[in-house]
Amino acid sequence: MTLQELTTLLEWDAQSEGSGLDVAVLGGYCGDLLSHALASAKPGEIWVTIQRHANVVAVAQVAGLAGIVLACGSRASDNVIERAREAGIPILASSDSAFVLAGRIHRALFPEAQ
Amino acid sequence: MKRFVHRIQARDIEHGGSASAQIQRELRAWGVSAGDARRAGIAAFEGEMNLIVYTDHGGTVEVDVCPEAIEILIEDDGPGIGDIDLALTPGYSTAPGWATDLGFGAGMGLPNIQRNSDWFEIHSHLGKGTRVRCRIERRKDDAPRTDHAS
Repeated sequence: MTLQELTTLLEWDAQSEGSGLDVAVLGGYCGDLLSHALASAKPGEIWVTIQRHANVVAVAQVAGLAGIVLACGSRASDNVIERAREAGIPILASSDSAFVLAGRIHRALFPEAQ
Repeated sequence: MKRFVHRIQARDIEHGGSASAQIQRELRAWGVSAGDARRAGIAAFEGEMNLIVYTDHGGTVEVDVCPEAIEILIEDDGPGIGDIDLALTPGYSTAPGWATDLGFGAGMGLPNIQRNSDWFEIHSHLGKGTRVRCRIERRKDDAPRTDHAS
């Protein structure tokens, strides 16, 4: 499933619109500690977090993640979105909690596991 | 051999990770595989953030691209680490509140450098500084999927 399909299905707001949404999403990681994300998130996974500062863009970039989903209504500022666009890292936003997001993403990506 | 050197300013959280992302881009431009560049990028990121969060005056991240390996040297002039074994223990952190609020200080920085390296060493003296060196053997593997750094 592509990030565009996931974004449409789960009704996310694409904050850095037009940036890399055609990428395949093969899994997900959920957490707000940056080094844990670097240690555990795998390339191509979507990262659910409430951290919305510029450093998360760098983490997603060096870890090769598919994108960042901001949970609980968290929103990135304009300068963070600009940095994400430059890095080619999509930032999506949702009012869902991280728990709900993780469940919905897992259900969408791995329907056979339900 | 190709060498990149990045100067990192202490407390420059706004630009945290920029040097590492650039290092990763430079590595890819020099023909380093996605998987090798990912390991090097993560090690560089943790070193870069340590310089920003913990040092008195920042420091440098120096990267050598050799035919068989990528070597990274992260160096600063203080304050130094009192107990290196403790600093290498996953989960141990002395990060200040402003950093933990941003999701830093998980106590995984040095362990992340170690686990992404094939060889690692650290020397530190209180009042003098810290020197971290690591070597990432080039496996020439691709990261499994997305490679935004290329």
